[in-house]
Amino acid sequence: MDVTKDNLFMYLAVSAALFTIGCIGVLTRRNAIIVFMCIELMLNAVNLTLVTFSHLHNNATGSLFVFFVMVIAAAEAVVGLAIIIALFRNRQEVDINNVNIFKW
Amino acid sequence: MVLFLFVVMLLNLGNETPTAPKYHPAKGIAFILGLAFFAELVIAFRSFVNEGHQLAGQFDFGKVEPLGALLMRDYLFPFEMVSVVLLAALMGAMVIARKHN
Amino acid sequence: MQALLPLIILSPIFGAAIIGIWGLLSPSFRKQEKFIGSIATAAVLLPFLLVLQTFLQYEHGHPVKFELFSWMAAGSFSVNFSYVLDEASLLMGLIVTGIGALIHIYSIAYMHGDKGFYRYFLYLNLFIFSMNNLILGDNLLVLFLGWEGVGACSYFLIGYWFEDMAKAMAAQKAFVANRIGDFALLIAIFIIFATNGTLTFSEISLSGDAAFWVALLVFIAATGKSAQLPLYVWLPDAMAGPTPVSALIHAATMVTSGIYLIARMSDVFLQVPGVMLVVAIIGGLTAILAALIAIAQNDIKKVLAYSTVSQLGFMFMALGAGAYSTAIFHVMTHAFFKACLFLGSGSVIHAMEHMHVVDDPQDVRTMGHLGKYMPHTSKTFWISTLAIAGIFPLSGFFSKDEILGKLFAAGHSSALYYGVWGVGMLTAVLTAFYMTRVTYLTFNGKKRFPESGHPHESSPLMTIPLWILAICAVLGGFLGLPAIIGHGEFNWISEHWLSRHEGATITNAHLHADLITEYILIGISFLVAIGGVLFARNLYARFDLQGDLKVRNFFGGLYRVMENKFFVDEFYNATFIRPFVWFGNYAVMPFDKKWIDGAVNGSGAIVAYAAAQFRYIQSGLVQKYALIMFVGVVILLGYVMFA
Repeated sequence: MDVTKDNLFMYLAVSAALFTIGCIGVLTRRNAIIVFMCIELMLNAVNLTLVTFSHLHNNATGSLFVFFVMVIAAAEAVVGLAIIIALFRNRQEVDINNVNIFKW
Repeated sequence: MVLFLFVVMLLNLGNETPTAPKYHPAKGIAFILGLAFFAELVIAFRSFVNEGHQLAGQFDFGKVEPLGALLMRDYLFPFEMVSVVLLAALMGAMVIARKHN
Repeated sequence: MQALLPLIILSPIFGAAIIGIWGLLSPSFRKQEKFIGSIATAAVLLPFLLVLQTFLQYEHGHPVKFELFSWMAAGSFSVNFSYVLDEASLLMGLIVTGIGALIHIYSIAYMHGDKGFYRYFLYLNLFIFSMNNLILGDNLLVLFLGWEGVGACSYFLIGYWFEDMAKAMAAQKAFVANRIGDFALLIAIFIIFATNGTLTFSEISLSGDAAFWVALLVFIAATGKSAQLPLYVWLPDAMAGPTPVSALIHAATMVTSGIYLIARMSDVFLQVPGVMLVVAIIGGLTAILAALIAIAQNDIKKVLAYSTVSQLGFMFMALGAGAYSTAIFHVMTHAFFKACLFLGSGSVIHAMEHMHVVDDPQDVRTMGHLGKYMPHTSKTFWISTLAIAGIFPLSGFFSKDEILGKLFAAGHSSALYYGVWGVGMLTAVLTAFYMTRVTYLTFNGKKRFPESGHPHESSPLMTIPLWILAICAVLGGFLGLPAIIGHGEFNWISEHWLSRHEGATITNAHLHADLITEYILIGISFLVAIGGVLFARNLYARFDLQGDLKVRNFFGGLYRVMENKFFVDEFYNATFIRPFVWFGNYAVMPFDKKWIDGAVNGSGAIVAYAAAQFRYIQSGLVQKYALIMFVGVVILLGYVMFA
């Protein structure tokens, strides 16, 4: 389906829904790995928005930007998961509610 | 996503320790705020659609070649930078996650 | 030469800084008395030489000005640290720095062995700095700086031996009495600024109500600084300080600042004859009151203190009559003989202390016949006594006579001046009497201290300044020869140097009596002086200390009042001081403790409590932080979209 003015709202609504679900997940879940998956979800929602507008305006810059976003998301996921592995080695659990040494 | 799979398998997590199900007010607030956020975004997009400005651009999305040409010509520098970022992330992950003996 | 002039002001403060800082940091420096004394003296001699040079090269009507730097510039008002060397300030400058240098030299010997030696010279130099600011300043603000500075230095120096509570209290009394006067001066400065917009002397012009109030307030300030009724009470107590301090501050320099200020503002005062009359009357009352008290005192320094108050009264009488230059003339001669008297008394006290045979080294009742052992001190002291009594041809004769003459001539504008003149005459008799009494009892007559004591003359560092001052006391009068000689042509000070006609900034009232009256007046005052001196000498030569009994009989019940200083201190204590202290303790202190301290401590406590409650925000859980951020994002988005 082409992106036109009529069905633009569909795409954007999907993207917004994905983003919101990702947000709620980041703020709510206890397991660190799940939190990371939600972050990925948010990034992908943004990707969808970018591609939508890129097709709307027939401008390739938006799509290229998606390309870079995906690469960065991958890099960030790699580093984040490495941190989780290190965390797990020390504590044998990945419950982020218990990682609160920097408190008062 | 494959990464996630590998990590989950590596960590060999057991069941989540059944802690007493505490009622976190934070969860409720987060949920409600999420709904509010969604509503705001929808309203924003709706009004955007109704205004509907159009930038004129010429691009044919059917083929891969124009995309590749754009990538290699106009956006070559970010392309190379991104590869450097990947390299850094790789090394960083290896340093953080290695076994310290 | 012009470039060196700022050193007049800077040299004493540099001296003070060097002595103070070095003395504070290095214990070994504090012991090098001659070195410290030399630095201090040099710091005062340099200004003296500069002032002297300016004086010798001076052209009438062309004041020499120099400026240090800008003080403040606010809108249209600007005042600088600028100084002017004109006729009046040159004369005062010579007196201050010259006598100051002599007293520095004297102090090196007098303060020998004292453990706060460097502190003493620090304060002395600081005092000279402040006094220079006072007399050389070309605007009221610099003068006020000096005014306050000399008050502060007076406090430091009177309370020099502060471990003794009585001395510290004397210092505080001096400062508080001064402060009352300072308040009046401040209001006068405000009025001048409000009406004129400038504080520079040469630009001030006042008239009408403003002139009246300014004159009155300046006079009140002068009563504080120059020890007249009602604020004179600090000066006798100020004798608690070292004797050279009494000589410098309370005889020659600080106490004359009030007179100097009034003389500088002669134009203002001449417009308000009512205030001038008040000045003259207060001067007269003070003079005779102090003279009466002095007759009944036995402490040599107290006698000299009351004598100073009395002589200052004479100067105020001259100011009140409109003879401003004459007052300055008397300032000069008084500085010479009074400084000599004080330094001489210091020499005597030193000798009495070293003997270690009497309880109170300052009590004349235990002295006597010291002239045999201390010839230099004795001779200079006698010279100065005769000068203050007004014996021809010493300086006191000329200046005192001129004052009395001007007072009499002022009688044509108001008969009350004749009354003041009469009081002045009476005071002159009393002055001759009590000064001769104390001098005779100290240096002549029978020896009243134990046989075991052997007094000796003081070191040349002390006697040479004495002689210098005594010679000045002898010769100083010739600067102001009376009008009967050459119709006033020879009166250099009043008619030439300090006269408006020749360009000076001091205006005098027209006070001329005809020649016959002048001759009669001079004759009377001379006879009066000689009479007083001879009477006292014969009385005490014949009866020694028992002469006091004759005096007591003469005055009857009044003598007891005189002995107790007319109970003025007790009166002030009961009327003013005790209510104030009570008010402070019962009305102000609880308020201060409860509310002001409470407010300060309370604000600290509130901050501590709030901080204790707020720190729980930092829970360490990243999800909570993210939640708070999200809340912010939602609110912001809503605001941007809907507002």
